[in-house]
Amino acid sequence: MTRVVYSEGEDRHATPADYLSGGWSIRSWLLTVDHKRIAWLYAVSITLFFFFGSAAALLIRLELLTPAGDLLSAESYNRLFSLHGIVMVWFFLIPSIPATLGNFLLPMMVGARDMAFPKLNLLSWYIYTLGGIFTIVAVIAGGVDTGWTFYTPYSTLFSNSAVLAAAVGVFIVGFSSILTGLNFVVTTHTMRAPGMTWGRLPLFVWANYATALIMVLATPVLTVTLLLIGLERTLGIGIFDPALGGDPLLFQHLFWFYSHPAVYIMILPAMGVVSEIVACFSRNPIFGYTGMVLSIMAIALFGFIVWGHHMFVSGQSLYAGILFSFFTFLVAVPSAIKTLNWTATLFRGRISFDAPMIYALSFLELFTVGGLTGVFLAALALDVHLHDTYFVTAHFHYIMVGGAVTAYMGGLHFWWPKLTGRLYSRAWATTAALALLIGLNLTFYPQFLLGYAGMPRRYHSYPDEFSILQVLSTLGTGVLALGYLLPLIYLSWSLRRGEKAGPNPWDAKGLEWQTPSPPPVHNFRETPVVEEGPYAYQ
Amino acid sequence: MNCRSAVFCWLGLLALLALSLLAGALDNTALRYSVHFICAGAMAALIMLVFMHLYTADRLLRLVAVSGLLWIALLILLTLADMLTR
Amino acid sequence: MPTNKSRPAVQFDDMDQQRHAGLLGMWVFLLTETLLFGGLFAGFAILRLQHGAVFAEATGHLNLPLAAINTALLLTSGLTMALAELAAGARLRRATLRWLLATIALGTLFLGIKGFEWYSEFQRQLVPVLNLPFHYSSELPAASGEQPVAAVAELFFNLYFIATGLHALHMLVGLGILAAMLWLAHRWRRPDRIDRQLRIAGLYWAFIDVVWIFIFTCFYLLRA
Repeated sequence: MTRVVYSEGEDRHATPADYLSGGWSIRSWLLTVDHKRIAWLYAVSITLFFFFGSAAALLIRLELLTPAGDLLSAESYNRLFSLHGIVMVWFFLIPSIPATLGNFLLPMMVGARDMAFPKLNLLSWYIYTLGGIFTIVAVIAGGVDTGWTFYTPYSTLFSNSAVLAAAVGVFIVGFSSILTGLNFVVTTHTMRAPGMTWGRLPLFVWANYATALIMVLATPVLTVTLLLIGLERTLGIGIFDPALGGDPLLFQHLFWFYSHPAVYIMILPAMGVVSEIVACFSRNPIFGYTGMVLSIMAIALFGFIVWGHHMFVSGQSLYAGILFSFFTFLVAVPSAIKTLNWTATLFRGRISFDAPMIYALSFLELFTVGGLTGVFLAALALDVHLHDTYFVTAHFHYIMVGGAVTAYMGGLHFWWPKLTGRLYSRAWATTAALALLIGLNLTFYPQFLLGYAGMPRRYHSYPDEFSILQVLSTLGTGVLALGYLLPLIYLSWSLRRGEKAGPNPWDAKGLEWQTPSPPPVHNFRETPVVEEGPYAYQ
Repeated sequence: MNCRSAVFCWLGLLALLALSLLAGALDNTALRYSVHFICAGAMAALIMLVFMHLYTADRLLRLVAVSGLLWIALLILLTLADMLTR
Repeated sequence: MPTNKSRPAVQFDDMDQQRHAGLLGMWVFLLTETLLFGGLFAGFAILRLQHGAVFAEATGHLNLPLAAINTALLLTSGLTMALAELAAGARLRRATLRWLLATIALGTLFLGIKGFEWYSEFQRQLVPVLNLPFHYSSELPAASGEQPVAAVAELFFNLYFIATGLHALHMLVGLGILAAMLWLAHRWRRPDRIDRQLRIAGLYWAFIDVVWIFIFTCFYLLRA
């Protein structure tokens, strides 16, 4: 049992001011050091960028409605998908769960009053915003046509687009990532409440901790790589120019050393969210907690030794390819263990299909499809044919949208009562969740078939026989859009008109549910003392 | 760390620097380069153990230090796995 | 008058926890710096292996004696920084100021010499920045593999300027931090806090030292 200790003489019935009621001035938001408010700052920013990146996606899908490249020129199309990738990867997916739900919940889940470095936390949001501004500048300057991957020597020597502005934007936002990661690592290590041993931490904390480790270890390599691009474009000193003896593949190695672990930054927190939801809505402890923890750490670790699977056909040595292929098969194993354990958690549970649970169950289907297709791509012989086709596009969208975004929505719906003190409409939430599930499958499943049939990615025109699949995919986008727009409406509506939520409307376990909704400024009146493990559901 | 250990560390660092410079006179390139890197490694270790207090630090901080070296090694070795086997 | 007892920041339960968090935070930051320079060293390692002969010869064009002196200066600044930490730990204001000043002086001297080195390289037309004339004389046959020797040598110098430039930038930041510490030590308002912060700053300063040792070894010592 967890006791929240009150000091003697204190009126335990007097409710301390919650973190939202302490002022709504610009100052109180822009100069806050409260991790909960900073989480909201991030939430607003990433939502804006999400719709920005989605607009790009919509245009892409509109273009692909017809076989001819009639909406946009090939040049413009290049800039559009580059924008979509850059915004979605760095300004939405990477920060999404960690900077919003992670920032809000991590200190509470470990029993702390705030992060270890609250001011650095605020700084990380400002840095994110600055990086975002540079990216918008890049867009206004006409955008970038190198793809989100900035491959050299095209990006350094030949592209006439706003490579520098875009590279600077991403360079800056990397520091935001690093600071968030640093804060998470130090907080988890040094600020756990008495009795909150590593073995009692919720999996959401473990997941964000592992994510933070990846952020800290991988991002600096991206930082130096982008610096090198910037230096080559401005000062003319670079190491990727083949005419000087530089190696374009060196760029790819450095770039993917970060960008592969980056996809684990995107998925691990999502897995953390799913664990919390599945346990609560099946009223069961997570099956195989130790295995789940080991799998989280294994994913983080193995994620660092598979990057060459992006380079199978780049001219990389065959032997390195074999090595990377082997490790890629290996990294699928802990993900599979987690998926099986979630399924096992459902067994003999008392399952309720509230919105968060629908999102979590959707995740299971979508992540399984995405994950399995990753295993196909890991096979060298298959990848030779599937590389740079829509098969790859479908694979990573299933995981990133079907996995990460779905889990983000699920987490938002699960913790919304805690974050805001309000409940939302069950009917609308269910509708939105189902729209997302159907929309995602309709949008991206046809893309597997397209890729398998040979349609290359990043092309704005295609042969007529691919038409029906492309049309289905675009129709799916419409359904998907519903899944995104509906929550925007009913969740905002709930802020004013939603029924007030109590401390624990889902009857969930976890320190965050022991506080009022919304929580008071410093979360706990006294540091809680933890006496039992997580997921003590019966 | 106290004054004595700090000064001894510094003297050791200068000695290693001198050693590395003197090795420049060697003929055998492989031997020469090895001495350079061993001296560099030893200097780095001295600085980290004494000036950065790792000698008296708890396990966690030492783990952080070691991880850095491990991760650079990972980056270089796996990239070399490609470069050297083409 | 300096305050005697420190109270922890609101998010911490006690000073021990705060101290621990501060040190871990700096070490994790240094971890990121390790990977930052690590990417650069990885690039160097790969290119060095691919163009060994030209890189080894190009190394000979750098000023080793000057760099060796610089290395010795930086190592000494590591000592003076350590002594400043010890002085602050013993709550000795004058000694702390003295050793901090010495560290700043040595660091500034390092940057001065580095700047002079760059200037002399500019005079010898070995700075391929912004399309400045680059004239490289070599004793090797004209082409190394597919590229002319001068081109590969340019690659070496690109790496050299990027690495030493990035290091110099970190030195500047370090000097800024030390200047701030000097000011705080001059005021001597909260000696407990100065002691803690100096310890954390000392970690950063020593780390920059370690990075330089490897830059020095890789770029100046691996001669033909």
